[in-house]
Amino acid sequence: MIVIPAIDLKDGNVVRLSQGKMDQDKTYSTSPVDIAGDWYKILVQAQSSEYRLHLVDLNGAFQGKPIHFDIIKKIAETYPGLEIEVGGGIRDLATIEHYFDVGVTYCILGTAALKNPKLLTLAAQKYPGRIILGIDAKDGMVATQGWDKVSRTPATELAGQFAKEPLAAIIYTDIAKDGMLAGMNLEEIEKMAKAASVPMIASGGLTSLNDIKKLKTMPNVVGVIAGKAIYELAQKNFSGRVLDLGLCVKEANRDKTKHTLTKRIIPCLDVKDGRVVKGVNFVGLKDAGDPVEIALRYDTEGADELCFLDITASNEKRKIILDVVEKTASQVFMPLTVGGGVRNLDDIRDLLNAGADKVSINTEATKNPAFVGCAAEKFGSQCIVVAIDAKKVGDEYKVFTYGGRNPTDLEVLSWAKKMEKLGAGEILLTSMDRDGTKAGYELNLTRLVSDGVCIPVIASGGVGKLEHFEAGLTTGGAMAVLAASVFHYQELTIGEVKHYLKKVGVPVRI
Amino acid sequence: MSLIAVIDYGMGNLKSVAKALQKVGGKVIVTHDSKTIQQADKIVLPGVGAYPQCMSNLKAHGLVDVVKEEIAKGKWFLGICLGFQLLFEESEEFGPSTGFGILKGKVKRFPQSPLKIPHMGWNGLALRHRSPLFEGIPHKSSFYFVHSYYVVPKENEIISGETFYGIPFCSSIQKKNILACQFHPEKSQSLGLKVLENFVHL
Repeated sequence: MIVIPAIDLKDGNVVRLSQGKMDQDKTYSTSPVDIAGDWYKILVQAQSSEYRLHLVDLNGAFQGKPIHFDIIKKIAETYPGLEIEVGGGIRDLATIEHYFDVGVTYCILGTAALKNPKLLTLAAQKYPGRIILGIDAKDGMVATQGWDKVSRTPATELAGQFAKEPLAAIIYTDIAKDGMLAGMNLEEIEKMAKAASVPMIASGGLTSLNDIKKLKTMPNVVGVIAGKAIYELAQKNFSGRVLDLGLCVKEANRDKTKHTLTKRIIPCLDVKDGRVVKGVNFVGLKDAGDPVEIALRYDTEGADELCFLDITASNEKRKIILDVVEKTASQVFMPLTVGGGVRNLDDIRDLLNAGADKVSINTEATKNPAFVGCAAEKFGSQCIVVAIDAKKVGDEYKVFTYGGRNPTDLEVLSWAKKMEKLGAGEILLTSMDRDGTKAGYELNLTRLVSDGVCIPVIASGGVGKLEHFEAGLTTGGAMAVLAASVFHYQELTIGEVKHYLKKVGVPVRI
Repeated sequence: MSLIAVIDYGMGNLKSVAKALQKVGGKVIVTHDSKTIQQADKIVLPGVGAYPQCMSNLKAHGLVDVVKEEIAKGKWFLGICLGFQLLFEESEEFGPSTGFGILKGKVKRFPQSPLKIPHMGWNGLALRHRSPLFEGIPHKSSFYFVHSYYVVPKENEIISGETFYGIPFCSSIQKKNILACQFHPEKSQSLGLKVLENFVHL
C-alpha cells in the first residue's frame, strides 16, 4: 500500500478544508511548489514504493475549469520523479490531455463522471490506467461540486457503473470525516472496497497508524491519502492528532516488496534431434511433441521465459536445434535461453543469430573457465548463463558435469563466484539430488548461492507442488524458478502457479 | 508501406527485432550499409553487448555519422536497450565511454546490493509524458528488461516512461522523431508487439 500526501490549492495557497466546506479553510503555506518538494523528500527518505502526490484544484472544482493549472505544471516540471494525480475542474478530454502533456500521471474525474459518464468511459479507454474516479460521499450518497451538493446516487452504485472501464483506481473520500482529525470511516471504506472491482484509494480523516494497519487488511485497497494530520505535524502542533508522513510510509511498506521487478517462471523443454523428449534421468526417452507447439502453449499460459535444453547426442544432428530456435523465435516473442553442448564462441553466435537471447554454458565452463570470460566480453554478460549442476558430497556442494554424471573437485559457491567475476549474467542452479524427485527445490543450496553472488539465480530441480515454487523464490532467494515435468505433464499450469504466488504475496506478472 | 532499416553491427540477437516488426506488419531490412539506411524511411537501433564495443563496431562500419544525419533530417528512430543508451553523451560502462551525444545525459550503473545486477525480468512501465509509441498501452504494464546500466537524461521533459528498481529510472524517452526504450519490446509478448506496431504505423 502507498501513502499519498495531498496538496489542496485555494487561491494559490496550500489549504485544508474541514468537511469540504470552502469557507472553513486553514492556510498552511503560500508556496505549493516547496510543499510538494518537502513531501517528495520524505517519501524518498522513507523508501516509499511509489512517489505520488495528490493535488486538488479547489477553485477549479467549484468553477468547473482548471484554475491552478500553472502551479500544477510547475510542480510536475520541478519534480519529474513524482507521480502526480490531479483533481478539480476536469470536465473535458482537452483538459486531461493538457495535464498529461505537462507531466501529470493521473487525472481524477469526480463531478464530471456523474454528470457526463461518457467522458469517463472515453478518457479511461483512451488512457488506460491513468484515469481515477473520485467518489466523495456523505452518508453513502455521492457528493459533487466541491462537496457543496449531495446527489441521490449511492456511492457503491457509481463505482459499479464503471466497473468494466480500465480505471487506475477509485479514490473514495468520506467527507464527513475529512479534515476532522477524528479517524477514518473504515466500515464504509471496506464496504466500498468490496463493491469496487478496481483498486481503491481511501481518503478522509487519516489520523493514526492504526488506520493504515487496518486498511492494509482490506482487499483492493492500494493506497491512502494523507491530509490534515501531516500538515498539523509540520506546523509543530503536537496535539496528539497529528501524523508523521515518514512513519505512515514505513507502516504501509511493512511486509511489502520494495521494487516491482517480478519473479520469473521458466518452463524448460528437453530437446533431442529437434523433438521434445521426456524420460527419467535421460533413460527411456519418449517423444513428447513439437517444441514450437509446446513453446506456443507456454506462451499463452503466461510463461516469463523459455528454456531449451538440447540433449542431442550425435554431432551431425546438432545443427537441428538452430532450426528449432529459429522457428520458435519467429512465433514466440519472449526471452529464450538455449543450453546443452555449447562449446565455443561459434556455437554461441549461431544460437544468438537463430534467435536465442541467452545461452547456457555448463560442462565447457569447467573445462575452460576463460571461455565464459571471452563469451561475456564478445556478446555481453546479459546473454551468458552459467549452468551449475550441484550435488551434496559430505558437507559440501560439489559441481558435477556431463548432465550430472561426472564429479569435479569444484565447490559450488566459490565456482559460482568465479563465474560471476568472469562475466556470467545469471546462474542456472540445478540440484542433482532433487532433480526428478518432486520433493521441492534444494533450498539451502539455492539460498547459499543466491546470497553469495550479485547476479540473479534460477532455482532448478525437484519442484512438484505449488508451495515449492514459493519456497524457492522466498526461502531460497531465487529470482526465477525453472520447471520441466510439472508443466509438461500439466500437473500444474503456469497460470495456477502464478495465481498462487500472487495470493501468497510473491510479485509475479499476471 | 514505409521501409524500416534495422541496423546490424555484428552483435547478438538482432533477428528478434526484425521478426517482431515483421509480425506486426512492418517491412524490414537488416543492414549495416549506409546507403540502405539513408534510403529507408525509419531506423531501428537494437542493442545488446557492451557499450564501447558497440560504438566501435558502429564506427568501423561508418554508421555513427549516418545515423546522426538521418535523425537530424527528422526520420523516425527507435533505439532499444543499448540502442537507447548509445544516444547519450557517455556511459560508465568500461569507461567513461563516449556515445552518440544526440541527447544530453549519462548512462550509470545500478547501485550494487541488495539488488541483483543485471536488472533482469519483467517490470512495470509507468507512463509519463505522452508518446505515440505507447498508444493503447495501459499504465504500468510489464515489459522485459535486461541491463546493468540506466540512462539519466538531462532534459526531464523527454522522459516518456519510468521504472522502479531500487530507484526510479528513465525507461523510455521521446524527443521529436527520436523514440527509445530500455526494455525489449521484441521480447515482451503482446504488449511489446503493440509498441512495435505503433512504431510501424507512425
